[in-house]
Amino acid sequence: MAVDKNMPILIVDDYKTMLRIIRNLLKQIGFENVEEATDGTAALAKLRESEFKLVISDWNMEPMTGIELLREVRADDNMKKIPFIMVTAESKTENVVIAKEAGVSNYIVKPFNAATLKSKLVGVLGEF
Amino acid sequence: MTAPKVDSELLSEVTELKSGNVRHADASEILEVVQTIIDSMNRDIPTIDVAVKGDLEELANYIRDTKAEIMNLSPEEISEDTLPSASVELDAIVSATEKATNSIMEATEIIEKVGDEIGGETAEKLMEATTQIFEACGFQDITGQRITKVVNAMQEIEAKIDDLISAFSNDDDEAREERRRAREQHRAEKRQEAIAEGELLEGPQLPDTAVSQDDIDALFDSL
Repeated sequence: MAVDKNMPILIVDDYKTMLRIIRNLLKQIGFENVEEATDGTAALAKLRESEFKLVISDWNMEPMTGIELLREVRADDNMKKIPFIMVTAESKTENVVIAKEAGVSNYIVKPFNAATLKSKLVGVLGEF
Repeated sequence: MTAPKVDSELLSEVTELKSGNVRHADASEILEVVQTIIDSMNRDIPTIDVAVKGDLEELANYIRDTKAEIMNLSPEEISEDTLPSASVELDAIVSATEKATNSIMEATEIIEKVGDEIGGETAEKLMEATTQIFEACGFQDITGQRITKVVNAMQEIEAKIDDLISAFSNDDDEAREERRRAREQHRAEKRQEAIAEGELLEGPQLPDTAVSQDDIDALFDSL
């Protein structure tokens, strides 16, 4: 099944500059239908409001962290299948393990480059 | 040797100290108790156990000296002025890097639009470069997170200094609350100064208080 580049994507990070970077890099790859949230709670509200085909989220946010957001998404019948990529400065083994166990689809460590973002997207969505 | 009769008041003071939170025990209170023991030893025990008395006197001196040394460090200045100022400076760094990074990205986005208009191989080369710029801008996120860790560490230091002040002064909850309020007020004042000077992004920059190149030019020309 071909990947629809117009798919709605939700990006979540408390640093607005990071949201802008990811938005621009996604645009370069061809994904322009992007919405933003600056913490887990806001992200959850958006996810409940409308359909998203992919979530790209940071870990360290207040009041709801990325990992808590992931757990909420995986616990909700309507959302649990949405691909969820964690993009974070947390690089310790235990973090990756925790995320994997919580159901993360893929894990990118900051600082990252465009090639890595693209390859993880391919890994999660399929070739495009 | 018969055990000396322990002063009942002294005994109750010691018991109270023992039952409380040792970390927050007022060093002055401990000093008082130690001094009372020394005095009562001098009074009630004709044959003084020199070694024990010597130890107690050393303890009393140690507490006095430590108290004086700590007060010399001006802990209140550190917790009410130095640390709050430092944390505002760090916030200002995050603000400044955010502003600069957004400027860089705005310009880069324009380059990309122009590239789209040109198309072809030129556009591809341009995109390679703009990709690099976007990737590099990720620094602002990393530095911001590291600075947050430093600010948290500073807050821990503030709390420990407060504990220290508490332990070595005649302190109570009201005094601690007073110090906390003073710290918050200093922090708020420093933030207001930084905002007025345009160093902190919070609300619109007041045009008449921020120092601009125009202000400097006017001053320069007037000298």
